[in-house]
Parts: sequence; structure tokens; C-alpha cells
Amino acid sequence: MNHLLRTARNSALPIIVLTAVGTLIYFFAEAYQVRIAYAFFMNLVVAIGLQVFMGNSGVVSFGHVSFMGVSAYVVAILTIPLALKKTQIPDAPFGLGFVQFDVVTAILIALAVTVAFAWVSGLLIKRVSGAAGEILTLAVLVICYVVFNAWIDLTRGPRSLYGIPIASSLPWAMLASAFVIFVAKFFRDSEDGLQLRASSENMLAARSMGVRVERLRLKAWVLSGFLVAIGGVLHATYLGTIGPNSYYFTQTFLIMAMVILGGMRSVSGVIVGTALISVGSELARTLENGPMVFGTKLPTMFGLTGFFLGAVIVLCMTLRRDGIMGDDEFEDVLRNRRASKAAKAAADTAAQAV
Amino acid sequence: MDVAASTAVAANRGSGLFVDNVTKQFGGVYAVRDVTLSCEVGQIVGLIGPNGAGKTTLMNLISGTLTPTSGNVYLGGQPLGATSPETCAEAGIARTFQNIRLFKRLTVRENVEVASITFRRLKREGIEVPNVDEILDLLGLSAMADLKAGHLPYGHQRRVEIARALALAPRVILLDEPAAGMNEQESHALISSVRMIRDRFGCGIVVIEHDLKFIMEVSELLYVMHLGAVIVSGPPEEVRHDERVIEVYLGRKARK
Repeated sequence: MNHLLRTARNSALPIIVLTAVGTLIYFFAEAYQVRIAYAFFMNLVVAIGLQVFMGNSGVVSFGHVSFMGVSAYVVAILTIPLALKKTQIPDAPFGLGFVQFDVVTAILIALAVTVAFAWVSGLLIKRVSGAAGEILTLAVLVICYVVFNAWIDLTRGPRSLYGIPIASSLPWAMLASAFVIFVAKFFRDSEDGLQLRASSENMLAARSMGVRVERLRLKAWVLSGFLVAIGGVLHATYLGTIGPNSYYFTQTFLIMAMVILGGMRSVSGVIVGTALISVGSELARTLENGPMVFGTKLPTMFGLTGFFLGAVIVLCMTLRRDGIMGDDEFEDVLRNRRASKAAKAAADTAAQAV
Repeated sequence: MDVAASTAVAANRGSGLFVDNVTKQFGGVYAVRDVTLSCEVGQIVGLIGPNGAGKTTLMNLISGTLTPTSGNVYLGGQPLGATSPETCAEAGIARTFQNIRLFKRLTVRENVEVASITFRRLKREGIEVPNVDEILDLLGLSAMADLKAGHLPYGHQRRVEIARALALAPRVILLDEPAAGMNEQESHALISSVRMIRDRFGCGIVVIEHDLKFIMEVSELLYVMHLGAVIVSGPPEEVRHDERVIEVYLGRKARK
């Protein structure tokens, strides 16, 4: 209970700030800006979901975007109206061509399916440490992409599925990200989270202190799969159309850049990273098209957005490997600042006394 | 193996740690050969020997980091069936590391918490839950409880290792060179800390150490290892004057 309250207090600051900004945008900004804000909150959900596994276990995962894909495809296949479905995937297996659920039921099923998939893949991932484990997560990404592309009867392959009822809007994305921030911070500071973080610091020492590393890794993997699946739901129910390329390398690198720039070990860091990368890629996208600046036409620079993400990852890895926030959460930064201020004040009064 | 020591060992089978004829082979090399050792609950046992004698390998065998080629480790009369460090920790063997292995990015308190969580999960009957604050206090770490463990000076880091091991409420605690890198004053303070730990937590303590002055003073029973085997064991006073020990370990230096 105590832990619940503490988490609520510690996650209040980012949630309030994000909600305030989101609300302003929702009521006062133009439609395309609302779309950008929606993408920000959706990516925030995915990035924090990824942080739950990567940040606590110390194992880098390239596979999480697959969870986004799985849940998005399940939602799509279960909610597209039957008439539309008949024209797109007439030969859908398991009789899926003849069922249609309401959005809420479909979302619940999608989350359950993704969690089940995360659990099964997690049974393999938890055993493997280091580079081997990271390659395994990459394999998950590739396998899912191939399935989305090749199981044409079910997913319509490389051609997009369309006609998903649009049920989501910016407030839903804000709500989801608040939930995800809370869950991530709750897990990070929980007993399991602490033991898992210890194992990422020193595996042998953690095991010698009785930390069940595999069990905790599986827990974190499934939990983060669940959170990322929420991101997939947000994607499908807002765009109304999805294709396999949305859940592959481009999205993986975008999320990876957000997590690495902010600092993967800190939930607050991921929030900062997501904000900076979102603003940065929006700028890059504008520059890409060769806008007019002060009356001069800039050249079009195709691929600038991708270059920007790559550059961020390279710079981060060479200059600041722990990311902007390192190990600290917002509350740690505030506490440290208060502590150093108090120390300074004490030193001042001591100096005056002398 | 001394006859006297071996009968004493047989009598102790029931209480604390009992290492029975353990051998560890790496390829054709015997790192540890037919070692028998015991440490009762409440006893402080020293383990010395020149570099490469197999002391740390023996520690790793007891704590489940390595599996013996042959032989068994018993705790409280039960075979550990040494499978993994986790099961050993859960059974009641805690350890520190020769090359400090702290969770550097966690605070001192969090380091101790990690072990304390394991203990709470196990809920072993009849043992009171060790209080993290009390442990920190006993080892003089209270003032730096909220600092990152990696930022502490070396001597303090060794203390955090001990505090962390204690939070498991172990029946036996293995200290691998706890005084390494400490100055004379610090290592002197450590002697009383080790005794205090034994008195307060009632556990058996096995200490590996190079610092002879330290080990002679702290231990009640001393084992000397050489080339993987225990060559002499007994009370420190006897061991100190044993010809074989002087020859292989104290060596020429002692004769000068």
C-alpha cells in the first residue's frame, strides 16, 4: 500500500505536466498538431513499455515493436466490419472472416493474445544473457515481420488492412501513457524491480544474494510486452489502417533512440528522451521537405529523419552512454538539488558564524 | 589431514557447514583436492594458503558458483546438492567477493535490501527478519546509506559487501579477503566487526585472508591450504608453529 502511494506521488509530476500540455494541444492546436501529439503519447507508451524490460534487466531488446504489431493486428482483424473484411481477407483462417467484436472486447482479446505471446517468447529469452539474448530479441522482430508479411490470408500481407473503427483520440492516448508511467515506476521501485536492477549491475552477486534472475526477467518481459501492446492498440484504433512496415526497423529505431537518449534505466529519462526525439524528428521532417526559411528555399534532404535518429544514437553511445537522466528519476533530481541547496545554506551560515 | 581435526569434523556434521571430501578438477588440474572442512554455527574459521592454493575455488564450491567434481557440502546436516548460487543463498550460505561485486548504481541501502528481499520471500521459521537499518548501523554505514555504493571508498565498499551478506540472515557467511586493501587501523576494526557479527547474528563465519596478523587473531580454527589440499588444520597457535605451514606458506620470510 505504502509503495502504491509513493509511486503515485513520484509519478504525479510527469503525468500532470504531460496531461496539461496534452490538454492544451487538444483544445487549442490545429488538427495536424493534435495528430503529432497523439503520435508522441503513443510512442511514449511503447518506449516506457520497452524501458520496463530493458531498463531493469539491462538486456537490450530489439523485439518489442513486434508486440505492438501483434496487438494491432489482433484488434484490426477482430474489429473490421464483416463486409470490408470479406473483400480484404476472404480466406481468413479459424473462421475469423465471420466474426466481428466491439472495440472494447477486441482490445481485451488483443492484450491477452499479446501477453500470451510475450510469455511464450519470454520462456526462451529469459535463459539467454548478453549478446545472444539481444540477437534473440532481434529474431523475434524479424519472425513477426515475416509472419505479418507472409500470412496473407490472415493479415493481407504487405498490403494494408483498412477499415478498423476509429475509436481512439488524444485523451485516450494521454490516459494510456499516464497508466503506463505509473506501472513502470511501480515496477521499477518494487522488490522485483530492485532485484532485477541488481542483477543487471552484477549477475553473480545478485544470484549469490538469492535473486531468481530468470523468473524476474520473464516477469519484466511479459509486463513490458503488455504495456507495448497498449501502444499497438492506440496505433490501430487511431489510424484505422495498419501494415507490416509500421512494426519493423523504422519504428524500432525510433523507440530505441528515445530510450537511449533519455537513459534506459530511468522512466523519467525515457519521458525526456521521447519528448526530445519527437520534437527533433518533427523538425527533421520539416527540413527534409526543403521549407522556406527567411525567404530562402532550403534544399530538400530526403532521409534526414532517419539520419537524425542514427546521429542521436551514435552521439549518445559515444558521449553519454547512460543517457540524459542516467539512473535518476525526476524525484531524485529534485531531492539532490534540495539536498545540495541545504548543504550550501548550512555552509553559508557556518561561514557567517565564523 | 590431521587425525584430531578429522574426528572433530565428524562430530560437527550436524550443526553448521560441513565440507566432505570435496574435489574440483578443471581438465587434468586439481584446483581443490579432497578437502574436508567444517564451520559450526557461532564459530569463526580461518582459511589461509599461498596464491593459487584453491581457497577461492573452495569458496565458489561452497556457495554454489561451481559444482564439485566429487564430494558433498552439507549445511545443518543436509546435503546442499550444490546446484546454483541462488539455492545456496536460500539455504543459508551468504558470501562476499574477493574482487568487490557491489551493485554500484544502487544505494548502499538498496544493496542490502536486495538480499533482505530474498530473506523475506523465504520466510524461514524461527529466525527473526534482519533489520536493514540495524545492519547498516552495526557496520557503520548509516551515514552513507543513501549514497550510490560505487561512490564509496574501498574500505567502506567491503563493509557494504558484508552488510549485504548479513541481510540474508545466513547460517554461515563466507568472507573472501575482507581486509584486502584496508590499512592496519581499518583491518583492526574489522576484527571486532567480525566478532560482533558472530555474536549478534549467531552465524558461522569462514574467513579467507592473506593478512596473517588479521587471521591469527580473528579465527578460532585455522585451515591451511596448499596446491588444492588442506595440509594442516587446528587452533591458530598450533598452526603457526607447524613445520609444514612454515615451509609452504610462511616460508623463508618467517625463518629470517
